[in-house]
Amino acid sequence: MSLNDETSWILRAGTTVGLVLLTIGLLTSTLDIGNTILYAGTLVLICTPMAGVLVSTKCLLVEKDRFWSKIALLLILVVAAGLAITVLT
Amino acid sequence: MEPIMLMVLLLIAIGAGIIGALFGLGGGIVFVPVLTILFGLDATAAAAASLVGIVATSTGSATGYVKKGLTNIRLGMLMEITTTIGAIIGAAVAVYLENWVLMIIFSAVMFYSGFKMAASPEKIIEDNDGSSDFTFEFKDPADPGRNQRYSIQNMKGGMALCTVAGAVSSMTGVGGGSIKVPLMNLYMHVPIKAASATSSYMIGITAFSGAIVYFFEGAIILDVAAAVSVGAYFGAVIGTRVSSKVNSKVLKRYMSVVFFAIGILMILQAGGVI
Repeated sequence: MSLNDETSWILRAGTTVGLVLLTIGLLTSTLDIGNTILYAGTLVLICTPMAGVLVSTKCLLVEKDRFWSKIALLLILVVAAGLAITVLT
Repeated sequence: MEPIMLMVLLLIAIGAGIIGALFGLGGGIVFVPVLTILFGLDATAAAAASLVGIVATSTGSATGYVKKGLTNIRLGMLMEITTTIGAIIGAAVAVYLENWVLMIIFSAVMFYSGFKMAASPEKIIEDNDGSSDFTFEFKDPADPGRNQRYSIQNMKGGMALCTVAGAVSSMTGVGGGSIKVPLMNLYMHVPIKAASATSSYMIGITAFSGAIVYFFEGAIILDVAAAVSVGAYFGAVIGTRVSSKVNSKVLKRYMSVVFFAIGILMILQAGGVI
């Protein structure tokens, strides 16, 4: 699969799983299990864009696209550094 | 929250998702005032739920745009590096600046972008040999007969301005897409549809950084975020389908109207009216 196909696939998969869980969670929100399902759905949905970046990076590395692989790895580093700074401060 | 209120929120989020997908925006400009004014949430809870909604708008539209090749993943990742750096700087200096001043500056940028969008014809620069790392092509679903090739201009300046966009965005809480789309289209000469689609992809990555922190701090009201996300996603799916049928010139004209509306909303927020 190409860069676009694989990235689109992971975005679709993550979004679908996240939204299905969120919908079930909303429908069962009066039950104890509802909150746990909402928690899981929110986490899956939030992490989906970053999963897209990771899959794109893998595709670029496989394609041996050296310039854009470095850019993708740098983005992951910058996002990780941003998160670390936010958590530490 | 009451089920009827969640339904109202769901419907508002669908509208925000449609606008977001069409114009490459996240929807924060809609979500935050709606959640604070109509639903009585405090600013932190509204921002947290809004960020989850922005992720849903982004992934909902990016899924379709990436598959069709409208999103420029490479350009998006490159510009997201400086946007994220700008967001970190913005968060650090935000305490030293008055929020209303930033909002007035932001609204001035929106009025300028709106005017330029309406007045300037789209300028696309093709690179005939296609050997540059910054030459790309895509197929516009509204014009399927040919591949549209474009060469990105002013890359260094565009990345520097993305740092400013990231800083302003993290200081005001809105503005990721509304700055990046005119920046890519007017300054870097990325075709409007590719610019909107790339912005949609980028705002999800930006929103991830904020949303994941709120998530682990327990600041997200889960049922509110779920209603916003489900609505925003379905709105975004509708928006991407509409976008594929709309002519670029028409999209650009409506986008200028949206930017004027954002500018007015920002002035109202700066003045404490909303």
